[in-house]
Amino acid sequence: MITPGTQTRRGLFVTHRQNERLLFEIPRRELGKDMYLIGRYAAAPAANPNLPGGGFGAYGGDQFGEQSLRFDRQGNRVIVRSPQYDISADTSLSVYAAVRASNYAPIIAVLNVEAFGPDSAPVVDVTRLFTTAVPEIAAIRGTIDPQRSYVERVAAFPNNVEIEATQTGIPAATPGLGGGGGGGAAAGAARPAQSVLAHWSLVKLPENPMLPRRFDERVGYFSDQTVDFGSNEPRSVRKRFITRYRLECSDRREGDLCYPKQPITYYVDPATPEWLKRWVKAGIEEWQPAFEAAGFKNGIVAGEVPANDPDWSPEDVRHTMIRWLPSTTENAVGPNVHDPRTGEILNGSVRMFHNVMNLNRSWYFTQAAAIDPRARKLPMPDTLSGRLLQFVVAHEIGHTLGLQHDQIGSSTYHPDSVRSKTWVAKMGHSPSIMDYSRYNYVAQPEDSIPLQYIIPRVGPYDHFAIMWGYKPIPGATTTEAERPTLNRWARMQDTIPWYRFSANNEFGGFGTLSEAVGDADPVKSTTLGYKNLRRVMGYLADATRLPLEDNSDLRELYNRTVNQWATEAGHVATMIGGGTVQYKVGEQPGAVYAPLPRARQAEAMRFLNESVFRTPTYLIDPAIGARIEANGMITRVNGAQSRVLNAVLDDQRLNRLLEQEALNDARAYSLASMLDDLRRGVWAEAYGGAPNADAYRRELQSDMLSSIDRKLNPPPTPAGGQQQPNFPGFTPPAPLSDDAKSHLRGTLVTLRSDLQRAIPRTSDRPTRLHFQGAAERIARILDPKG
Amino acid sequence: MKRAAPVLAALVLGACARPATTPATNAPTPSRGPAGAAAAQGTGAPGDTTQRTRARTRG
Repeated sequence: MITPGTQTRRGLFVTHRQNERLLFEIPRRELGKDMYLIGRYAAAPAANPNLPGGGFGAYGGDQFGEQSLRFDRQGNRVIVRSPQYDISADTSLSVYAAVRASNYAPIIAVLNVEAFGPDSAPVVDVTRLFTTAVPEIAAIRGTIDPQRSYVERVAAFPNNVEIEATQTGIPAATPGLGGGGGGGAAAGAARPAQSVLAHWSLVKLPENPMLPRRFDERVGYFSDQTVDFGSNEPRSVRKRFITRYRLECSDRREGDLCYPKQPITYYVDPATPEWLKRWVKAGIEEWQPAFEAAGFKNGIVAGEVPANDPDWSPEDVRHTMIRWLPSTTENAVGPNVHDPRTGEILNGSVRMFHNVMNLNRSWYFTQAAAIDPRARKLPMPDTLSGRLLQFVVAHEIGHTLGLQHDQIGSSTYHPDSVRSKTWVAKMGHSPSIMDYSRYNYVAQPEDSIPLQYIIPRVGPYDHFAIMWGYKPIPGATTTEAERPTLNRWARMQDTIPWYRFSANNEFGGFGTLSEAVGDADPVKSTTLGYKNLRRVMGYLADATRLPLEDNSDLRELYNRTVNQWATEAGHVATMIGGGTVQYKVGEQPGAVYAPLPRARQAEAMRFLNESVFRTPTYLIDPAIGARIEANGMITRVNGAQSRVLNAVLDDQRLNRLLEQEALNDARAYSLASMLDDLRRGVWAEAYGGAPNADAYRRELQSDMLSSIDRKLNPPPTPAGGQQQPNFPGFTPPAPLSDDAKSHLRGTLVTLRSDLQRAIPRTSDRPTRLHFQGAAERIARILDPKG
Repeated sequence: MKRAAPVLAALVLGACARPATTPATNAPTPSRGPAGAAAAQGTGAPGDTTQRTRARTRG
């Protein structure tokens, strides 16, 4: 069977390459063991960046599949199954038999035994697993042409086997996850064949599984779960455990710290632009102090890619790498591959898309040019661009260490704090690099914040979270035994607000503001932010003037500046109907959800009326407009303002205002009060002596009518179509209540009579026509069939 | 067992669902006739792709 000329490698399996065939000789001890198959592209056709729909597609290093696997021998066949772990029970309990019977694993393939090796190890031909359209394994979802698909290479190691094959096929019409790239082609058009070089890592899941650490909503880890039927409780228990790397102390110590048996190692992609490599490395090592908080010296390190090792492959699941992808996408992602039984992270490779640097540049200009002179001239210096990239790398690594977005972080810092040199030096301007806080736009030039503190760093929350997830708990040998200690650590949140966590709170934002700084007081932080945006407007033209370049930088950064303005306004808007969250367990007294007091909600509305819905003249620069467009200024400014207006009129916010009133009565900011304030603010001209609304205001006022019209007279759902796809586990929000709709109708009735009274007082023709048109439009909204 | 990667682990949310590039707002349209078409060809010149992607705005 195994003839001369066969290339044999010994490892987890003995692998034989015999011409075009690939054979696995599976030692008996590996039969029936839990394994994991991870598929990644070693080379793939990335989508054309000039076509819509491209950019996020398939790049070398991208993952296309994950599959649990088990090889069982049955007579003269080897059955390849995919075991499931969604329900579980201890193997010693009688209920285990029922659980096992209900976990019947789907069969991926049935392979004939071709021969037996020593110790009766079955030898099977696995070529077709990697060269034909086995849906659970294939790198191309669709049809695969076996004539143009072949195994390229195989390497065996003690705990894994690495396989590479070229697959050629035609992706299915609807590109799914890992659709082989090239998305964006028109549906129905003939789709060209694609080839990918696919790399699979077949890895044995640890025979000694890591002790799972129980998930706790108070601390922001990603998690996996199983439903346990083996507990003594009257109902099954959903056991969620966090995803994290296995980190264990070796005997080597330094003071209170131990060196890990195996440090968490991240490799810098050799394809990274040379000048950026040191910043990527710095982003890795920035996490070392957090692991010191968990008791580890050098818990995380940057590894060197070996120069001359033909078996070393960046796609090998044992190697975690910061991949650099030649993509125009302005983003970066940090997924992980973990043991589904325990949450042990096996690989945390980060995907950095090349143009994330442009996103950084835009953010830094709009948020920091007011206090950092380096940002006032493009291109920004390499040392600054590199430092900004380090921040993104560190954020993504945080994800692959198991951490979610700590969006609540920034709201635990007061704007006065983030203006203090001593505070930011010690605490940063946000407690967590996992927050969507970008750069410190609240600090003013006179605060003289050292420039290195404008950029987010691995902060106090991150140290706390890594400690909570990674610190060994001596003496606790089971997941349950760890709980009292974990609870004690989590309760540090009772006295240290910036250790609290919420990724996306149920008040629709307040307290978990995205892209905010110092939002313990959003009105104050946005007021300060706006002072800086006035300064930034003054720097725009000079910063982007490049003698031989066109005006596209000016256009981009101008639009970004206006967007930043709307984003900061949005932070204030979330205070209306907003509240704060601190997750608690039974022994912790007090409310988990606390609505914001009436006065603060009303203050937010006042700010919006005065500083957002009034025309922000400082954002309107006719000279810039004249450089970049024939027209578009009204659309630009209106787009920013109506983004905020629509946030205020969000269905869920209106529903919440009604509920806060129902529960708190006079202490709440009622929906009626809010709508009165909004009407008097947006339509302020109608309530003045000689109404005169400028073009921007007229546009915004019309938008308010459009917004209410959509709520009262929603367009019919297209026949046979759902408006939005529903994802498993996603509950669509409740629709706008009828009570809220009545409030909106009342607002229009009042506004119409107020407009009719104001029309005779108007001093200019456009305002008069606008008011007349608005009054007529209100009549149609209130009675669309009339 | 198939598992999806955590969907929230990105630097910017929502970007996955959005096309990576959108045409520049001032891109000439073919309706401008032969002169416009020539200009449109011009925007496809090497080095111009960055200009188009820069026009992306976040939603």
